[in-house]
Order: sequence, then structure tokens, then C-alpha cells
Amino acid sequence: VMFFTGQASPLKAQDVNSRISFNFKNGTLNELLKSIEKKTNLSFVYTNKDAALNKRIESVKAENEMVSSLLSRVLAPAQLTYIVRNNQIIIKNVVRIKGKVTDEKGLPIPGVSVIEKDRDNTTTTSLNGEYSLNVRDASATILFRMMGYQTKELALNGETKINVSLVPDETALSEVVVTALGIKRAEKALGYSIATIKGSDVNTVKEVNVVNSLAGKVAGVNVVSAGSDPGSTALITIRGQSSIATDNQPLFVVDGVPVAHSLRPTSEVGRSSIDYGSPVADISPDDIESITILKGASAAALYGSRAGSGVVLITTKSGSANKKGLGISFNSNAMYDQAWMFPHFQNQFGAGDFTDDPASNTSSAWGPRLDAGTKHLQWNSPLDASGKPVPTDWVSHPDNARDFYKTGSTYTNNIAISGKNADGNYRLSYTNMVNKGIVPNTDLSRNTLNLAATYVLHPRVKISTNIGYVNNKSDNRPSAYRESVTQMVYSMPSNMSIKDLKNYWKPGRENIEQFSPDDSDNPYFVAYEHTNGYDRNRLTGNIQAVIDVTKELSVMVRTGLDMYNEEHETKRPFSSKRFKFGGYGVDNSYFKEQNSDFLINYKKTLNQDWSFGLSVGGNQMDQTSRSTAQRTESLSIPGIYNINNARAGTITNAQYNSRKRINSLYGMGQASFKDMVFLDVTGRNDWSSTLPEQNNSYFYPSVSLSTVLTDLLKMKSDLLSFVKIRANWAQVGSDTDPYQLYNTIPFNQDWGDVKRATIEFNLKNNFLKPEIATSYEFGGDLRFFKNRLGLDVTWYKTNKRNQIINIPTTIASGASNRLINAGNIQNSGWEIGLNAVPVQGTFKWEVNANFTRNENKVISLLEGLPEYSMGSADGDNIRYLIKEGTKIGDFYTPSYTKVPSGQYAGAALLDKTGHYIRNNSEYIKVGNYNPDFTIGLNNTFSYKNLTLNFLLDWRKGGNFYSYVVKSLINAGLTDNTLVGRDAETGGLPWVDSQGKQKNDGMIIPGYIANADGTYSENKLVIAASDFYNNTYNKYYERLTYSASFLKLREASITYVFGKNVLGKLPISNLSVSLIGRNLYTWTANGLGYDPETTMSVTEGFKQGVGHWTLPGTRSFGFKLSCNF
Amino acid sequence: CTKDFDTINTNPNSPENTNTEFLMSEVVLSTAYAYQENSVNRRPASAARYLTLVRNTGYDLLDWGPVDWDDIYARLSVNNTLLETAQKRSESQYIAISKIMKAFNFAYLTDLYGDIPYTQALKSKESNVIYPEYDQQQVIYPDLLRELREANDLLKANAEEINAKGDVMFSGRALQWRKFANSLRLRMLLRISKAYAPAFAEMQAIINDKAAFPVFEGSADNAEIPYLGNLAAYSWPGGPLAMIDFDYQKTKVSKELVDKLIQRNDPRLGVWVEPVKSTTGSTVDPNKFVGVPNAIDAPAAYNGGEDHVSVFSSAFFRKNGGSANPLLKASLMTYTEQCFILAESIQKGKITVPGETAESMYYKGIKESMNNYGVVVSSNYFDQSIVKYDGTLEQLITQKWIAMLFKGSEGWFDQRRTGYPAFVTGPLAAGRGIPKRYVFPDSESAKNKVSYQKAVSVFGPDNESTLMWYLK
Repeated sequence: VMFFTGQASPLKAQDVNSRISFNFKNGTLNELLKSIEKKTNLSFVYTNKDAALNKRIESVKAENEMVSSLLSRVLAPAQLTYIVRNNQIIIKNVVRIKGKVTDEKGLPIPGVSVIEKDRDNTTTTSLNGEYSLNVRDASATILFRMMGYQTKELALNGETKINVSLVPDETALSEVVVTALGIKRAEKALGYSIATIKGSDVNTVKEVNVVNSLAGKVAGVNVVSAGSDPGSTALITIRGQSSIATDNQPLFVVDGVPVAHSLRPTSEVGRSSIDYGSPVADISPDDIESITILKGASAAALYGSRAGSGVVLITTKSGSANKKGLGISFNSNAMYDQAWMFPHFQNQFGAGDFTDDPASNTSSAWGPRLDAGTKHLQWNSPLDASGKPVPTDWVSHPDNARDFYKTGSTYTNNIAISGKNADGNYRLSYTNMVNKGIVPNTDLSRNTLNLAATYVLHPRVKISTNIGYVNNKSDNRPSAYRESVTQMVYSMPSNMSIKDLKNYWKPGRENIEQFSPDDSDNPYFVAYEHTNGYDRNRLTGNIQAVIDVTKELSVMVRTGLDMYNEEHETKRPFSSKRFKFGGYGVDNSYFKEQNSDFLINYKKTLNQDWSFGLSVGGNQMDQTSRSTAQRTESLSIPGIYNINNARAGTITNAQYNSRKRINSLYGMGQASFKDMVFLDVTGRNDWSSTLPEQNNSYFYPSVSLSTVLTDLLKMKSDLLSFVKIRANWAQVGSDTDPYQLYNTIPFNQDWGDVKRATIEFNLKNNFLKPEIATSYEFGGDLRFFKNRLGLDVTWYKTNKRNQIINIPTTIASGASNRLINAGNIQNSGWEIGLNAVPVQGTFKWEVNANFTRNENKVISLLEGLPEYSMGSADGDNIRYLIKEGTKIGDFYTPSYTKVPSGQYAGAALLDKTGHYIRNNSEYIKVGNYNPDFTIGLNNTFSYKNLTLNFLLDWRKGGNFYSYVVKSLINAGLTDNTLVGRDAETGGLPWVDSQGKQKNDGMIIPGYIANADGTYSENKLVIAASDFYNNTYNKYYERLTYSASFLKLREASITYVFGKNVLGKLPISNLSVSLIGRNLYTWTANGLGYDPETTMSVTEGFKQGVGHWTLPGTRSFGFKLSCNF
Repeated sequence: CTKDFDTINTNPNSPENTNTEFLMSEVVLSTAYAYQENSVNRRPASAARYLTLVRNTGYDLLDWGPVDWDDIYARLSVNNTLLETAQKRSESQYIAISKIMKAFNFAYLTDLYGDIPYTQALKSKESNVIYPEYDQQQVIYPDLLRELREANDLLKANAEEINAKGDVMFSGRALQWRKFANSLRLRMLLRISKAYAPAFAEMQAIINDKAAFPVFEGSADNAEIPYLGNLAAYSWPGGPLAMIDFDYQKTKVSKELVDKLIQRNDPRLGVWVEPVKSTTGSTVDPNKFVGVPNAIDAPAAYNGGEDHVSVFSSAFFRKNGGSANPLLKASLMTYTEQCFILAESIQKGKITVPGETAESMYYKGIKESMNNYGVVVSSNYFDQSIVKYDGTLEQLITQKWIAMLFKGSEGWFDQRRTGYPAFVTGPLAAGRGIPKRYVFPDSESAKNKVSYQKAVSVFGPDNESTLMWYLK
């Protein structure tokens, strides 16, 4: 090695940062360096003087460029580098290091940043985890950084082949989560709050509808099931209701592709409603790898218009986690549902209109006392020889409801095969679910086939696909609302026995005439003959290609499809009370949504301090739906269910087609400093087909920032393990439904062969603007005691403005609504998550708790619009009104008239007959259906192979009004109507208007106005039935109860068999679990109504109004799973 | 990339313009069926005390509260589109029909409520008027009479064909429409005669010129639409498709109706009313036909309950038939009613009808009613002192009230106008009396507050007993 010493002048290292302008042509590298020396005060020392220095250089041009940068540029192609040492610049050969980065299992990790410490010299590992990097000398220090793993720092110490194994970051501080557009990020880098749920959290205690599995598990997420049948729709609201006109349901995205909307209106047949469930429920819990919930606008901004109410991202399992070769997993689950929450029926008085009623009608239970050894005429009294009915024993049958509902069962079996090799991986999964409902003859079955496959086409090109096929089928879904079995069963006076109704055809009149005691349908007849079948075939799939153009640049292109066809078949036999001549309906609906998108990702680790990322993408969403329905309300021949059997001229047809398209372009930039400070910026522009041309393009941005304070301020200690704070601001724009711009003149039902055309009473608007939601969020993530205690706190505020709503106008104006942009609804709230490991060791106790409090406020509606009705329920008796300053969820009803002034002011003002006077002129607020707060508390205890887990779900506050309570009180069926029935129960003696002496008198407390303007206390005696009727029937505040409840939502005990037990059996991971769901429910109302499922399910789902739905259930069962 | 948006967002399900006759059939059908449903199941039937409800007794207690008018304004709104379409196409025959339907529906509205939005109504779409002001009844009525007169004149002059198929009431016969327009004027003029000075003169002018103002000449001219009986919506409102048994069972015949029919040995009793299942066990009324008194406590238990009180005839009205009984139609106005209108006007000495007297028109009205129910009446009926024409308004109106059973709201409207028949309102409806009007819809105070408040300050308190202009 020769040394060539140039001009020896003292050199400061920072001189390499001086700038130079320079034009060099045709020479050797040596000559080039010489000319740099000339232009600067620098001189170079060469550690070797080989051919590299004689390398020809055609042209180098520099304009005010840093010397360091110029040197790197010219030296690198010659495999040379420089170091500054002892104030000398030494030109030397690079040291080329290479190696492979693997995880703890020895599997390669692609995408790891390999950084030469203190220099802007980085690379990333390839798909097979390999890297190579030219470093200055063999004593350099190298950093290996990958999210989800602890960063590793290695001094080369002369080594040039460095294989590294990274250790996962178990602290979860840098847990990798899936964010919008499927981009994986370290959780600590996020400036917004998201929640991730592992697959195992939703498939141990399995729900038929996976949405229900989220209840109580995530702060900020409110899940309400519309019914206790497992196939019922579940409503999910994230951070409160912000939209006046839409249903506030989040967007569901499965494996990167948006799927069908989660909520579908119920189907109305006669007066009953059928909930066919939501297509979101199609996904099998066994196929779920993880669920991520993007709560705020910032998290969801990249999903655009439809993400205004948050996003639920579901990632399904793939074969990539598999060990090499073939893996088979199997699990089997059995769950039994038992109806147990019933209204508190009374069994002391039987059918009749008053206590000594000799009649045998069955429509109310104000009749004679039961079990008193008397005989009365009854609906099924036998006839004597002369054809006269004979009185029979008047005894109670207290278990009618319990006898009617059966134990429901759900069996779920899943088998999955997965495999993996160097070329790719796959997972094929089949799930079979068979359910029998608690209502006799109701069922649901589901078969799910899923294939996830990835193929490495080229080291830089990966193709993957997910294809799912689901068939959902039911011969009969239970009905709700009026004329459902629940109404029939609950409305039976106790002197009747439901067992007498089991044979529901009149003997000899099968298919023609039902056997029914009164004017309503026999509940068994409804269960077995009023069938509501459906069959849904659904195909979801996507195919995507990821091309790693360079290590930093990748391109993803994808197209995804969600398509289903659903057929409903509704049968009503002859002699149904509402369908004298039977009825039949077939509805077909087709839905397709196609999303095609691309995403270009660029990632660059500049140096150990700075790294950047930039993504640009676009999406085209195309939605098509078509539906047709043919129905008849009269059949020609009993028992033949075919539309051709409709009575002549009775077929009604309906058809609706719609299309919608949204084109979008979006981008996201990220910067991170020292892995401690993270800044994200996003922007999206949508073009929606549903808005008028001048307003159909809209842009919305978001910014978020997060900082790991413990790292930044170097304040980490054993007490304080980690502190991160985050903040963000975002906007999301939304469009509307198709065809909201111009009115049309639709056809009405033909009158014989005469056509009718009617008009639309909602005035549309071709000046609509997009809605804009603006939100702020601040939060912090704190960990203490070496991460054994963690606290995650978020505060948010969202304002949704320019809402596209139908404002009501008087019908006298010729339209009942006008569509306009108006309103500003604000939601703000707190979300607090707490996790702790109070006991660690062989016996481990983990606690996860979450607290949610959302505050809703109507900031403004529209100038001149004092109130707005978001709908009404139970006729028009309950109105969901909003006014400036009030909250969404408030419901209002008319009340009774009160004494306006004087000493009795505020007491009831009764009419001359001693009855309440309804004050129709004013709707008073009686409740709000949203909870004040919710708390979920999950405890896991594990000891060796045994794990015990239970989840408590507490919702405090909120109210519900119950139509069922009202109806049952009106008919005297529940135990809150016992007082005053006879002398024994405190009834007053009185004489009715027909001169009859009675002992069922009661007095409504209140005052009657005298002619002179004074008031006297009411002393008028009325019948007990009249008393209850008048007190409750129209005065809804008396029928409104607290909706607070506490549920033991989930409980499970799991035993995992150890290897020593399984021995040489080809089985691994064998586990058995005992599981329970909703095992116990405490309700504040205490009347036997589950506030969660008291919902009016007709023409949509109306919370806060209890209607005839199924009784509350508890479920228990077991699960077995294993791998082969 | 947005050039397809127009196509994508064009509604493929219905047109922006439609044929005039499709709108005509809509207006006429929706008017007739809703009007008939009102007269059978709704408040007018309770106020006219034809029936007694024994469960869900709300209507019966006459404590109605606000009543919405959505369906009436809705069909007026469709009628407005009919008018616009006809004007655009210069189809004067449909302009005329829309004027008649406008007059019929607005007259019904103002008869029910009093002052209502009229001149500023139905203008949301064309001129953004969303807070229409109310007009006084005395302004509305003459304008409606003018509309009817104009309709009559347009149809007289016009030779353009009315689409016979779309004309579900008169099969395209313009003369029938003219008769309806003029007969309706007779009804409306008598109704306002107390307050509207030229009422009888205008009636006389109609009667005097048959060629210019043809009126109903027999029941064949009735403004009626049959029921198809195929769908619930196209069936008699009390029939088995449209009404479930539960509603049928809670609806009993009133004591007022049964007793008046029994008093007169009226042959319509057996047609309209079902005998009780059993008279043994009847506690207060041992008759074969038993009506239930209105607004009593425990009405379901009256006379021993269910088996001892009458329901409306199942053979005719309800359970086992009547979906499309040719005798049961949706009636807007009948010749029978016109007979009584003329009888009353002659009785008052205000008009003359060539060849007719009040007595002859009175008998004609009764006979016409019976004929329409297929009842053959013997002359003995008319010989009864209670039936034999005695020149009193009470007798005349009581017979009209019987004949108007389930015909529009005439039974109630005549009662509040003349006080006949004098009903026993019932102990639980005591103090309220028979309502004089509907209370304005409560949505008005929310959606049209300023106009509503202004209207009430002019009209008087918004309750059931406030008298409208023509009742004062």
C-alpha cells in the first residue's frame, strides 16, 4: 500500500460541508479529485492507489453542491468512499457488507431498514431478507430497524457478513397495525386512535353476527343488537351519531375492499317485520385474523365519503403465518340459546273485561280471579248435549311463554387447510353454521368457503387473491313487531294454556282454516305457516398485484368485488287474520360493488434520524343494485305457494334499479424523526355521481402528529415506561344517494288495467353540496411499571356540517319535505382504555377495560326551522325530534294536561269524568336512547394450561319507551296491573253506568276544574281496567324506562392440552372451551325487558322504542379446536 | 372521468313527465277511496254516531286531538300536477276535471277544519312557498264554486275526448262530470246557505237551466267508484281484505242507529245490522238487534258482552264478503243525497223544483237509498207516523242521516249544521259534545308556525268546538 500525501494543511471536518460549483469533463477520477482540491482548501489522502483512481469520468457537473455529496456521488461508482479522520480526508475502498435479516423463528424479514450509523447511507432488505450495503470501513456501526421489532445496533468490528435475527417488540409499543388502505404502520407512529381486535377475541365465544362480538370490547364503539335471534341485525355506532339523515353505520372493508353496507331495512309483511340480517354478518369469525376499527375522521380520511361514521377493517387469515408445508386446523363450536327474560306476567286474573265478567273473550286479562276453585266459560269450553258451552276449571298457566320458546342451538364447524412454500402460500377454509331459533320452526344456515392465496411471480412481483363464497339460507326467519309470535304469546291471558294451541289447524280443515281461540292468529300457526324464507348467495373477491419496483418504491393494483343475490320468499296461509285468502311474495335483490384501486408507495429512510414515506392512490367505486318483487295478498288454491297461484289481478310488482360511482384520488405523506416524532398528512378528492355537476368534486385533508415523549425527553424509567401523545385534525366529505337531484313521476299500483301515476312528495334539489365533517382528536398512551399498566386516553370532537337532509315542510305546500344542505351536529367525547397485569407469573391475571362517553349536541339546524323530526315510532306517538341545543336520540311524546297555576299547579288536570286529558299541542321530551357512558371490563386469568375469561358490559343511562309494556298493561297481562282488581287487591266499591255493583274501582289522582275557576280533588271511581288504560295508554312518559344494564357478555374457560398429554398423536394445539354469552343481565327497568333489544324494527330500526321482539336469551356451549 | 355521471345518476325507475290520464285516475281513485274509508272507519262515522267502538275507544270518546290532513293535501298536490300537465298540453277536458277534483277536496278540507291554506297552498315546487298562509273559509268557498262553474263550462264547450279507460268514475263521459260538478255545487251551496246570501239563488239558477247546468237525474249518475276487491287497497274498507277480524269485532253498531231503525221498522236494519248471537243472557236490551251506547264505561261488557250486541252485517259489510260487493262503492256524492238537499231547500221555501215538492223529494230520497241496498220497501213503511212527511227539518234530516250511513261525512256535517239527530253523546264524552271540526294537524305548529298562529288569531281557538264561518 502506497501513501500519497498531498498538500498538508489543517482541515476541519465540516469543510466537507462547504459548497462548490464545478464542471469537469473527460478525465480520470484522480484528475477530478485534484481539481476539487484546487477549488477548495481540501486535500485528499489515498489509502490505495489502484485502478479505481484511473477510472475514466466523462462529465461531472456541480452547482453549489456540498463537497460531501459530490464526493459520495463520484466515489460510489468506483466502489470508493471517504472518511474524515484526524482532519484528513482519506479516500479508500468501500467495505461491502451483506447478510440476511430473520425473525425469531428464522424466517426472513423483508423491508428492514439497514442504516450505517451517523451517515446518510441506508438500504432495505429484499423479499428474502437479504441486504448488501457499502460502508466506509469495517468498524462502522449498523442499525437494523423494522416496525414491530426491537431495533438492533451492531458494530461491524471487521466483519463483512452480518446475519441478524430481530426480536419482536413484545412491549407492543411498536405493534404493527393495519391502517387505512391496508397500510401497515407501527402503532406508535399513529397520530390518531384506532382499535385492533385479534381474531381469537371474536372466535372463542363465537357470534353468528361478528358485529355483536365487538360489544363491550372497544372504547368509542357502541353495538346494539336488534334482536335476540342470532341472525338479527346489529347496529354499530362509532363515536356517536353525527348524521341526521343516514343510519350512522361505519364502512366495512374486508381485505382492503369495501363491502356492502351494513344495515338494511326490515321487510314488512302485513303488520309484521322481518329482519333478514345484515350481509356484514356473512363473514365467518373463524376466518378473521384481526379487526381494526378506525374511529376518527383522521384515521378514516383516506376511505372518503363512506367513512364518515368510521371504518371497520377486517383482515382475514392467510397462509403466510404457516410453517412450511401443510397445516390443518379444525374447530367445532356448539352454542345453546335459552329465552329467559320475559315480561312479568300476572297469573292471578284470567281473561275478561272486568273482574266478574261472565264472558269468554280472550283479548284481555281483566277477568275473574284464577285458581279460586271456580269454573267459568272459556274459549275452549266443551258443549253439552244441547249445544251450550259448559264452564270449566278457571286455573292459571304461568309458563305459557316459557313453554312456547324452545332452546335454540347453533353449531359451527370450521376446517382450514393452509400451506406455504418459497413461491407463496394459501389458506382454504370452510365453515358450516347451522342454527335453530328459539321460535319453533325458525332457522338459519350458513356455508362459507374462503380461499386466500399469494403467489410470488417474480422476486419483485407478488400476486394475491381472496375469494369468498357464502350461502345464507333460512326456511323461516322469526318476525317481529305487530302480529308476530311474541305478540300472540305474550297476549295470552293466563287461564289459557299454550299447549292447547299446538295443533293449529282446525281438524279436517288443514291448509284452509286455522285453529285459533280468538280474533288473533294462533302463535304456532304463525311460527309454522307464516314463513319468511331467504336465500343469499354472495361472492366476494379481490385480486391484487404488488410490484416492488425498487426497494423503496412499490406499486399495488387491485380490483375487488362484492356481489350478492338474495331471494326472499314469504308465505301466508289461508285464514291468516290479515291474509284471509293467504298471501305470497317473492323478492329478488341483486347488489354489486366493484372497487378498483391502485396505490404507489415510496419509502425512504434518509438516515438514522429521518425517514419519509409517500403514497399516492386512486379508486373507482361502482355500485349497482337491482331489485324486483312480486307479491299477492290472495291465493287461489290453499297451500300452493307460487306467484302463478295468485288470485287473478292481485299480483303487485315492484322494481328499483340504481347506480352510483365515486372516483377518487388520494395521497398521504409521512415523516418520522428519530422514530420518536411522526407527522402524517393526507388528502383526498372525490368525484361523486350523485351530486350536481358544479359540486361533485370535493377535497378534504387531514394532518396528524404523534410523539413518543419518553424517547424524546429521555424520561423513561421503571415507573414510567412509555408516554406518547397524539393530535390530529381532519375533514371528510360525503355525498348522497343516487337520484336526489330531480323529481320524477312514479307509477302507482295498477287499478285493474288502469294505470296510475303519482308524484314524489320529497322535493329534490339540484344544488346539493357535499357534507363536510371536521374533527379534532387529542390523545395519549401511557405505560407504567414496565408496561404492566397501560392507559390510553382520547378526546375528540367532530362537527358534521352541510348535512343533506330532507327538511319537513307542511304538506299544504304541496310537498312534505325539501332536500337541502343544513345542520351542524357535534359529537365530542372521551375514550379511555386501561390494561393491566395485576398478577404475573404462572398464574396470570390480565384486565382490559374501556370507557366510552359521547356527548352529542345539535349546534344548528336551519334558519327558521325550530325542530326537525328524524322519524317517529309507534304511530306518530313517539317523535325523534332535534332542536338547536338538544341531542340526537331524544324522543318526545304528548303528555297529559296539568293544572296551570295555583296550589295544585303541576298536578294532573282531569276531565269531568275523572280521566286524564291528553295535551296534544305539545310534545315533551321523555328520554334519549343513547347511553351516558359505557364500560367494558374484560378479565383473563390463566394458570398453566387453563384460561378463564369474562367480559362485563355496562351501559349507564339512556331510556327506552316500550310499546309492549303499554300493550300488556292495557290488556291487564302483567303484574303491575294487579292493584284494584277486587276487594282483596284494594279495589273500591262502585256502581257502573248500568247500575251494576262492582269492587274493582280506582281513582285517578288529580284535580277537576270547577266552573268558578277553582279545582277540586278527583273522587270519581272508575274501573281498574279503565284506570290502567287511561293512566298508561297515551302517557308515554310513564312507559319510558332507564335503559341501563349490566351484562356478563362473554365467559369462557379454555384448557389447552400440553404436548405431554397428546404424546405422539398427530394433533397439536388441542383445546376445549366452555363458553357462555349474555349469561346474566341486570336491567334498571327490572320489568323483564332487555333494553338492548327493545327496538322498533319496522321501516328501519328505531332505537329507544321497545316493540314486539323476542325475549332476552342467554347462551352457553362449548368449543373444541385443534391443528393437525 | 366524470362524463358518465349524468347517465349514471339519471333515475331509470320513473319518468319526469307522464300521461295526463294516469294522473287523473290517480287523483280520482285516491280521493274516492280515502273519502270512503273516512266515512266507514274514521272520525266522521264516530261523530255521526253510526258506530260504537268497544276497544281502543278513542274516536268514540270524541277526544280526537289534532288530525293530520296529509292525504288530502297529497292528492291535491297530485291534482296540481294533473292541472299543470293538462295546461302544458292544452287539454281543457283534464283542466276541467282537475278543477272539479280540486273543489271536491278543498271543500272537504275546509268542511273539516274551517280556515285552511288555499291560495298559497301547493306552491312549494313552482315558487318555493313553504309557509303558505291560511285563507278564510268565506274566501275559499266562493272560489271553489267558481272553479266548479268553470269546469262545467269548459266541458260544455269542449269536444276533446276524455280517456275512457283512465276515467275510472265516468268512463270518459263529459256530461257525467258536468252533472257531478253541478250537484256538488248544490251540496256546497246548501252547506253554506246560512252564511252565504246568494246560496239559494245560485241553486235555483242551476235547477232552472238543465242544459247549462245538468245535475244528477238518478242513481246511475252517482259519483262513485266500484271496488275491485282484489287487493286490500282496492276493497271495501270494512271488507275481509281491508279489515282484520280484531278491528271488525271492536266496531259495534251504535244504539243511535239501531234504535232509530227499529223505531221505523226500517227494512235496512236487517241488511246493515247483524242480529245478536243470543238474547238469553242479555242484561239491558233484550232485542234481537242491539246497538251499543256511545262513550260508556266498559262498552265491551254492554248488555252482557260480545254475544249480546250487534255488529254490522257480515253478509253485507264485513267478514264473509263485501270485498267488492257491487252495492258497496266509494261514493263522492249520490243522487240520494241530492234528493234530500233539494227536499230541504224546498222545505225551507227557498227554491222550487218543477214538478217536485219537499215531500216528494223526501220520499224519493228514502226510496233511492233503499233501492241502492236492494231493499224492496212496502208502502206501509211510509204510512208510519214517524216516517210520513210532516214538514219538519228533524224528520227530514233524520231520514237523510239514515240514508247517509257510510256516505261521505254528510251525517256528521248535517248534524252540526242542523242539530239533528240529537245524539246522546255518552257519559265519557260528556262536556265535549259532537265536534264541530277537526283540530289543525299538530305538524302545522311545527312546520308552518307563523301562518298557523296568524290563522288561529283570525279563526278562533283551535279546538273541536270552534264554529267555522258557515256554522256561525
